[in-house]
Amino acid sequence: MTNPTNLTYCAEFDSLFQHQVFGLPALEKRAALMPVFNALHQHHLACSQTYARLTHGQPLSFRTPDELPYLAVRLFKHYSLSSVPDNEVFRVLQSSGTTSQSPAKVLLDKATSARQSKALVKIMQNFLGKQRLPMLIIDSPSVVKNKALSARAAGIQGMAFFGRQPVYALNEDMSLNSVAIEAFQRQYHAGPVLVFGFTFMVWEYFVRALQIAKQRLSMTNATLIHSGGWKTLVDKQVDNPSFKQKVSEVLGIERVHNFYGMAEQVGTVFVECEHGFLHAPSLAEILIRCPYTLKLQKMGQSGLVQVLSSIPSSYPGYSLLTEDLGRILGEDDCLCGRKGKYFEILGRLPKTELRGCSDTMGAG
Amino acid sequence: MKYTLLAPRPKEQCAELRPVYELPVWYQLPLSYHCDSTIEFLNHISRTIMQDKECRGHSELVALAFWLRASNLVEFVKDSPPGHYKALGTVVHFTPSNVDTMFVYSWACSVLAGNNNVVRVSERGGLVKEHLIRILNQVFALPQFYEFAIRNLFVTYEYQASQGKSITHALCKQADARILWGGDNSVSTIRAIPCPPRCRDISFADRYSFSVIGSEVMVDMEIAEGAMTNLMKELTPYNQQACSSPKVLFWIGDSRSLEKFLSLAGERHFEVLPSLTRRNEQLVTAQSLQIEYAASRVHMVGELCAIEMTKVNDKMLSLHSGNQVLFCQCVASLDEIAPFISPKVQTLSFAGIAKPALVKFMAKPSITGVDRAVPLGEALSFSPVWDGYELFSQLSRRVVIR
Repeated sequence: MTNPTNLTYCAEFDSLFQHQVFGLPALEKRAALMPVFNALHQHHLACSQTYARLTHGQPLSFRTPDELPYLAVRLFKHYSLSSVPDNEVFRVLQSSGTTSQSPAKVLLDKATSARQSKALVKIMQNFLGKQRLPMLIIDSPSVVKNKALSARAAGIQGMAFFGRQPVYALNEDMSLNSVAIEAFQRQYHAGPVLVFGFTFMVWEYFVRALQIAKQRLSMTNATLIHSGGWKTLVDKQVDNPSFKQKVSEVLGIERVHNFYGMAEQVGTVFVECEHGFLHAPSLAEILIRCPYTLKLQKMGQSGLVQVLSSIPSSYPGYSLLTEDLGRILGEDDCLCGRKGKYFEILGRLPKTELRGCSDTMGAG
Repeated sequence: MKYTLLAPRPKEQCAELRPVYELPVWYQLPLSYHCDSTIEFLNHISRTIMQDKECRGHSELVALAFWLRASNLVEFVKDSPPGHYKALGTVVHFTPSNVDTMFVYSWACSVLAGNNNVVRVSERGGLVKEHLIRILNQVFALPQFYEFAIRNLFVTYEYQASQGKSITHALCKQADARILWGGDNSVSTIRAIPCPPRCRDISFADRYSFSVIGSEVMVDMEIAEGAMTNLMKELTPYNQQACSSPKVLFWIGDSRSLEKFLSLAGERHFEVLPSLTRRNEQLVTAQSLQIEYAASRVHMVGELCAIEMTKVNDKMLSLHSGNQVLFCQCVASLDEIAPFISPKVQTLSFAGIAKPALVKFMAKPSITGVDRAVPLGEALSFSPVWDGYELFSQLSRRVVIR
């Protein structure tokens, strides 16, 4: 905390945080963001030997976001990247780590964790309003009881800021808790409510499950927020428009916002607006790079998504090259009125199969 | 015991139902060592590959077809007087999954030696392997190659499953020789399985390879460009995963001349659309090396990713995942490379170095590795002398007639 680079960063972050979260047009945004990113760069340079090695030979400050160094997001699966002493690590966030893959580990100190919450609140309020809403969580209560903090649990805890008296819609075995759902509807049918869940779970265990049970809800006052990626739904040939259509048909919910965000950058999420585009808030930036050369793509060209967040000081992950493919659709001129870049996610890089001599034949 | 017969495709006899150790291949007398009909058979495979549109798109298959031409095979055969060499019997091959065509070379050598062959093909593997099996079936189906069709068998099965293990045991029990491709652990696992007392094992275990280029190549741009072309030729096939694919480049010269040389990779045009994932994989490898070993510089040029290290060691190689990545070290002379050369080093490909200097260097007792030193561009060219083995003599019985 007493680290001078950290103090500089905190001051820069606080002044960035004063701005409206979707109010900064391009040049102003850059002017507000770059001091924060440069401060983060210098902070991690001073506090993380790993970061210093990764940015060996690079300057101390940069003029534009695209000049900043970036880390391959997969490094978080292989290494514990930290910019704080071990005793300041307050919690370790683990990404779900599908199947056999090792999960990503993100080390959080109190300050970073607090900023994550602050940022999430600020961004989400722009879509949900300031009032805390009755909240229906499309998951089972057991997910947050687990001691190791999974990204799923962290996501739910993060969103719980916006809800009061959360109700879990699923039982432990992922079946519909019809009693809880009915009670929730009965109690709150008059006012606005928040429904939150992971995209796949909302689809499979809520929308589809209701459909199979031949049930329909009419949650016309609800806003559905969902996240977690489309991979499994793409396999089932469900895209965002067909998802929304079914949600409207089965749940009666018209206000649906997907958001894109990394477990490695909790807090700065990219929320889908009323026109269906993901938006970069003032606290974060998005860039698209050519998958073949890693050079910056022009607007409209698809490529690898690089995400930059003003939040992480406890681990050197403020600038990450993801394995997602996306495309920037415009800047400052979305019909929803929000400033900043708006974009879409097009999928993930295909899995590369690792084949080497040493994993050839296995046991005889 | 469940297995799949890949080639030859079963016709009248319903082979799938019979245990693998009861198949006809085990009851056939082997053929003669190095006979004309064998060369004709292999040459026909070569022609079939070359005439196949889909096969021609894969450089590995084209190289294989080129190698299987009669004119090439005749070279191997010419110095062996008839009667002095005999086939061993039935050779069982355990093939690798990382290089789809590599096992065909050792199989072809065994066929040339007159042996019957049972080839266990990896369950994994891609398009190249599928094409290859298709071609083999086409050729086996021809009546003039019936004698080969009954003496060769390509099977696959889940070798990790307990049923698979018993198949492996059954194969080993009757093998006159085993050819084992794979990682150290897998090779050792199979070698521990009982086999007849006189069974021979030819093991191609974990090896790695490197290139040495002298900065002298930079004196003439044409030579420099030729060296880059040859280097890329070694990095592209098998996604750089073969044991003989170089993973390390020792540059005899300074960092500046190395950078100049590497920049030549940028002027090359992509022959096929490059892989969408490659650059990101390269980034992961490069950044892992920066984290673990403080790599000094990363050059991403064209399709190549060259990572400059102060000192390369063999431990680093566990981070190498193919994808046209080279770990580079600048050295002042060949002697500086010596500490890197362990018995695990298979191939050294070179350019810009005088051959006498190389021979002198290799002769030193301290050099315990390197089975092949070949001009840059030829690292992947299979030869019947491989991994220190003379395959034809290993796969045959020498008869002394006085």
